Amino acid sequence: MIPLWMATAALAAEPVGIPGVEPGPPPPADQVDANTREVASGLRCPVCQGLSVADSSSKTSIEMHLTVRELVAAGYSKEQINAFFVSRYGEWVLLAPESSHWIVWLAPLLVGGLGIAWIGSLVVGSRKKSNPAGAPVAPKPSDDYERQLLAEVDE
Amino acid sequence: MISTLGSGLVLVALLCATIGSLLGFRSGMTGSATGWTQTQFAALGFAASMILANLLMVYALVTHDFSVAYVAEVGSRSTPTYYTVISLWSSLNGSILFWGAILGVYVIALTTAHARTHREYMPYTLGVLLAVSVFFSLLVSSVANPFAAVEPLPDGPGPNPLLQNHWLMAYHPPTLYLGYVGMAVPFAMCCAALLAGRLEAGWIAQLRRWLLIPWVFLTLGITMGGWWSYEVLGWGGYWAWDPVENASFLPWLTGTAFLHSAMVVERRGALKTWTLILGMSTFLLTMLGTFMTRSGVFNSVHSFTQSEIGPVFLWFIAICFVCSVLLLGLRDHKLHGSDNPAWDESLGDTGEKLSVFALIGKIVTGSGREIAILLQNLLFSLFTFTVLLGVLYPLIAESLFERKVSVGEPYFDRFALPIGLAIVSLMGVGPALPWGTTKRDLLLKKFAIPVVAAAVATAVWAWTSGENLWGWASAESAWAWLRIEFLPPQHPYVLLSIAVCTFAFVANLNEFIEPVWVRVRARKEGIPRAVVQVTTRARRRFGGHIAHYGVISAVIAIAMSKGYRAESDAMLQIGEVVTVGAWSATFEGAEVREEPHRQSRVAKFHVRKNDKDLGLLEPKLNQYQRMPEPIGTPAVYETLTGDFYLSLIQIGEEGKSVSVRAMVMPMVIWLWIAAAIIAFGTIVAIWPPRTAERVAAPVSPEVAA
Repeated sequence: MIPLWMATAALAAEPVGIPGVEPGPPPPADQVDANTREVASGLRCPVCQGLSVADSSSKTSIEMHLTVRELVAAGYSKEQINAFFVSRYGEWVLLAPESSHWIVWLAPLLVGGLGIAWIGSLVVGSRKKSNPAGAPVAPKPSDDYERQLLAEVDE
Repeated sequence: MISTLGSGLVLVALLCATIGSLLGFRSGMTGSATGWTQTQFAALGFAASMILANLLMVYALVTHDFSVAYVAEVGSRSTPTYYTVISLWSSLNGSILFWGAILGVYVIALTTAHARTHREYMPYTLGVLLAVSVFFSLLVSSVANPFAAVEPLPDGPGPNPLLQNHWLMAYHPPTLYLGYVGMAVPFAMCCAALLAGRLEAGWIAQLRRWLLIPWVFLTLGITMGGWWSYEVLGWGGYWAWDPVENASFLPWLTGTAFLHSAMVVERRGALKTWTLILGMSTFLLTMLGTFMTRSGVFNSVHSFTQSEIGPVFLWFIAICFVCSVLLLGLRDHKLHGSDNPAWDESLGDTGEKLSVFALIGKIVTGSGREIAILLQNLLFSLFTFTVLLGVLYPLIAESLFERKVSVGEPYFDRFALPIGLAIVSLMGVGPALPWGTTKRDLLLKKFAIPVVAAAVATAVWAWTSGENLWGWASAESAWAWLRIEFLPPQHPYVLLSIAVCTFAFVANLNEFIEPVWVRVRARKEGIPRAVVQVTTRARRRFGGHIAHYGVISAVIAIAMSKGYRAESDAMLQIGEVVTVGAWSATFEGAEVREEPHRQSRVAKFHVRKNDKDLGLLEPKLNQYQRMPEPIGTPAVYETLTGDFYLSLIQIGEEGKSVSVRAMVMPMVIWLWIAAAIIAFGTIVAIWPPRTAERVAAPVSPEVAA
């Protein structure tokens, strides 16, 4: 069995590396596959519809996959490889928007935070309202759990 | 001939819908009995003519009447009859016509189910539902007219090849449509509550049932879409956060939130406005989804057709949205009277005007199931917001900042994982809490066992699989995550999923065992009898639990298949082997098979797992006359623990060599099983209870006499 990347690598004669960017120390050999998948699954296949380079089996994706693999093996970081592909294809090639699109990252956190704060304030507010003098709360008619359960299964 | 007849039927449907809608609103306002009867007749008239129009179109397709525009578009004499019939929904204009028939079926079902009940709401409901029908009839008779007469040709091009590529395509679109169109019913019922200015427990219970029906179709439709993607598209995944997938997921999220908040309305009389908002946005989101699929604004693997129907849909969505907002703004205050004494008593509050805010406050002072549901609603709303933002952001960025960006899987996953896991853990909390307040000793009693079980399961998995939660949770790897560096090869979310799923599973199971014990102790029943009583009496309760088991099954399947998938792309000569984990496949050669509508190039692989012979797998590349590029069909060997997946990339000259992607996808099958479990749970939940059947069954005068 020849792994596809080896078979394709024989055909490609491009030098490995990004001009003007210094790679770090190469990763251990058993990490190359996992790291390649990680980078490739964040890159958009330019000729498919919304699939990542890791998932797509189109010709372009296979070639991009190979480039990613070589860059990873040469010791480039995820950020450097991403920047390389952005310079080639535009930021459209990244499946997760860059941090300059902070709004798309922060808005969900903000909405979630507001929601929790709102529910929390209702708890605090209504506790104060129902117990203004800080007097001990009269025991409410307790929900007899077993009674409720029986009523529910008998409904 | 068929053209004229079909167009005529559609016009009759349009007329019936228009008259029926007006009659419905009027008899709702006047309360006139004759007006209501006339509304029902108009509704049935609409339904009958729409269904007849569909049958006529099927007839035209089967008889190859190429003078009908739609038949000329998708028909072909060489297509097998089965595919000819289902090509009714293979293209846009046909599917819109088919939507009309589905709407007709829902109209008939609703009218017959509530012909004599809920008279204060039903005329308004039919009024709104028929107003929606007016829109669809208008579409069918104008922009998307499938019955238009054309110059007949001797033969047509045949339906979209993807329709014939896999049997699932026969079921996936209609199931999804049943979900999409069906959401018009709860929408109409929500509007009716606002128009009538009241919302009682009886109506919200019916509303919930009528939302459950399209909801379960939506659930099945989404799952089938994933299955189809997995079995046909050949990239080895079932969900790509593609715009069209998201479009179907959005109403599912709000619908699921509705199913839970409706229980709070029914039990406690609270969250009325919020629940109506959820019910109405579910329908609006299905329409938005249709617009997204059909307008061509979004690129997607699932959208087969694009047309000028987009702007019309956008107008319809806008009108529905404005009407919904107006209704809520003008009529909402009417709902919050003390219309049900039982609710007020249970809240210790008689006569006070119950605003949503005051009520949420009241509920939250307790610590019962309401809070779990409120939090669940928050999480589902947040999920909806995030997915919607992700879908729309590329459009926003392009129009506002003139930057072309993509928002895909890495973005959605980062939010979906924590939100999803939080939802699953709430799924274990909610059902275990009683309504109202929970005493502290009960909390301990309820959650001690599930928490211990979750801890044990997580520890066992970490030990057997070598996963290390703490290693991943170190400061170093958190920094790597923030810096977008490579992550260590650990799968923390697999461990977390196992923890929350075990917790939720045991907690839900406990809710089944406990009532059995209660009955055994309190009623002195034998255990088998108690089990039967509990399962048959509280169907809604246990239907819900069963659906929860389904969700757990789905989450485990997703976690395992995402965490432990393994793959290998290889180039093989005849006799060579590709190995992934315990699986291996030997390339035995390729051949060409001719069929009337396509040419298949088939590669044959001999599959083994741990040296056990499992026979042949035959991934294909299918070439259709209509398509320039071949469509790959992967071959999958499915087992309960994992699938072996072979997808062809290329077949070399003369079939001597092949490029193939081999994958091992653990536990994917549990995703499809999950949908079946959820569907079963839903059927259990909506099956009419025996006692209610007896009470509600009207005694006809003849029998009484």
